[in-house]
Amino acid sequence: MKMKIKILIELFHYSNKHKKFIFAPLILLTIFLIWLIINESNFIILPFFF
Amino acid sequence: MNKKHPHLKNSIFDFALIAFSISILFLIEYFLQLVGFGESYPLANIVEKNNVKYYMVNENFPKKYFSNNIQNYPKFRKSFFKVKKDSNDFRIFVVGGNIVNGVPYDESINFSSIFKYLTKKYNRNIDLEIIDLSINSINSYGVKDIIKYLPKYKPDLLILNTGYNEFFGIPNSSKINNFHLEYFFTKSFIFFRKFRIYQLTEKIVNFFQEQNVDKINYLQADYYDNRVDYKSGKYINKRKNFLRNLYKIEDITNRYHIPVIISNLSANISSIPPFHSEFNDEELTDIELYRNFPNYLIQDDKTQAEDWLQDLKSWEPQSAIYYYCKAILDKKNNQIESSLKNYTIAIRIDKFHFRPLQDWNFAIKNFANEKEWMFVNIDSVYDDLTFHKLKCDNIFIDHIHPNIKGYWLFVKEHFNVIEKNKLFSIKKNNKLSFNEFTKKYPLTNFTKSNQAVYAKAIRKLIYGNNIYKDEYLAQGSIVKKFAYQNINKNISWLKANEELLDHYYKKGDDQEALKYFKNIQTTYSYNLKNYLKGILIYYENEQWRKIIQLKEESSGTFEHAKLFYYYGVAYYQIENYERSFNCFKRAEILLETNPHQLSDSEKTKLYKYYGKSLEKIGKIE
Repeated sequence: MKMKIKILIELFHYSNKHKKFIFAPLILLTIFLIWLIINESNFIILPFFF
Repeated sequence: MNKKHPHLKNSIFDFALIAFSISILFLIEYFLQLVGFGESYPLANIVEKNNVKYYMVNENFPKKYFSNNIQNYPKFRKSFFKVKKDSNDFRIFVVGGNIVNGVPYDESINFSSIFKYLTKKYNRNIDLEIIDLSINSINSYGVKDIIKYLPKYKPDLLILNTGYNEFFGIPNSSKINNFHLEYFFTKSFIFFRKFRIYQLTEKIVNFFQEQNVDKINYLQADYYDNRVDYKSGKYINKRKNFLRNLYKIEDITNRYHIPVIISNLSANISSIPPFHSEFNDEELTDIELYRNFPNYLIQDDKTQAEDWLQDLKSWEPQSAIYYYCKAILDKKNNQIESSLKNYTIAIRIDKFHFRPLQDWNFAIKNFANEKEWMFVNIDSVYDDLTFHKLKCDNIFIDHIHPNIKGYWLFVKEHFNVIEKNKLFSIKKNNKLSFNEFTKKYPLTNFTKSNQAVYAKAIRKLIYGNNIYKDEYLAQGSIVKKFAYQNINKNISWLKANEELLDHYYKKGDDQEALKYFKNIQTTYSYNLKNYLKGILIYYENEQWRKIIQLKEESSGTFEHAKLFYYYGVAYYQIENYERSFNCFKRAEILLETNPHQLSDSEKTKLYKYYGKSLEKIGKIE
């Protein structure tokens, strides 16, 4: 039990240090969706976004 | 362990964090579904009427393919079908665009209503459930998406008509000019639409976005964005992706054993001028140019018309309108062939491909042949009804939509194909229970679910699609073996037939072998290997008339020295020496380039016969 809590705390510290792993996928997907909606499947400008 | 491998620990943590991030998305999605936000786009909802449960087609389903700010999107027709399907019910799904929808007529003229009338008229004793899933201006991406929903509803037949709206249809396909990327992005657009997160984001974005008035009318805005050159990269990509969608559809129908009827595309080539020509002078328009021309024709002033055309040629020789006017003049001068050619060129170089071209029909026909789909050649039906194939407003009401007569013919042709393939009677005869079936035809390895498929495979192996009788199921074990392999996709239908042909030929049972030869001929008449074998069997049995009959049926399809050698001998035997001589001569010419097509002994025989036929027609003594 102690071991598991220790790992969780370690994970928490790690996530604080490397926030990109939580936020990057969320942000990227949101940008992709918004861009998809605005362009209504007109994908020519895709490379400028990323 | 972790202390020993800090990198391993870090990468496990990275993975856990990314998984956490993705699970947040799923949670939001789940939450939105719980509170009932957005739409799930079911194809049909269950309703109850007089204690019987029915599926009711979701009229608003097509909204899935349209942008959120478009209010007047087309809807599905309201139709009901039973949740619990009886064995006597024959359920047809009709999927396609304007043509099956019956544009521009109202409820009375459309595929399902005419089809219902025909089944009643011809007294087909069947409980027909025909479900119309057509939407105006839908392209093959949409059609494919709709078909994905169908297996759940156990269709007995799928009627498909698509390909008209590939360049400007709904759902909007990606404008990126790359074969794979276009497909990927369009697919992802359709895929994301059903998620509530996407719908939520769409709501938020639309709130901040200015409403574009032009886009309220869903097609208008897109016409001018869709100029495509004939055989340009874009044109070819579109056609390839159309075929790719057909392959995907075939995947589904094949997996669930749904028979498909596909029809080709037809268009009014002569009554409607081209929509948009490419002019060197950008200020010119087709409408302005074309305005004067008909006046000359009405006044019967041919010289002036010709002069005008000459002028146009010198200014804009590559415009679609020039070829169109030239075609009209040719028709007036009774040069029908040249007129047809010019009409075709005019459609081909028209920048708006509202009218399908023949290369699409070619692709559809080949696909249907390859995948053993039933095929309705509606284009040739319309051709036969028009003056020298110049399809015009005696069949069409505008550029592609048929008039009432055209619609009737369209549905009647489909009905004929169903009759010809005896689809209704197969359905009726399948009422045999599984126990009865296994008693009658003792089998191993077959489960209840594939008995009908198995029966169909055997039937197809023995008599193509044409004849259905119960007793044919009791064929020998070799046929059953190939039918079994065919069902399990270990062997194609063509290959199974070829093996059976070989098997019976080697066994010396020519009658049985010829049966498989004829069977292959119905679908793969262009298969040289099979054709040669069939002719060889006739040759060995000295059935000369049969050989000649086959030759006449397939005139010009094959060029092979062996064939002409056989033809020659056949003609010689029935004492038509002139023709026999011509065939031998042809064989000799073919041998010059392909000397291995005849064995040495056959070559000797060829020259022996050649000499004899020369003697007979008196060229040598």
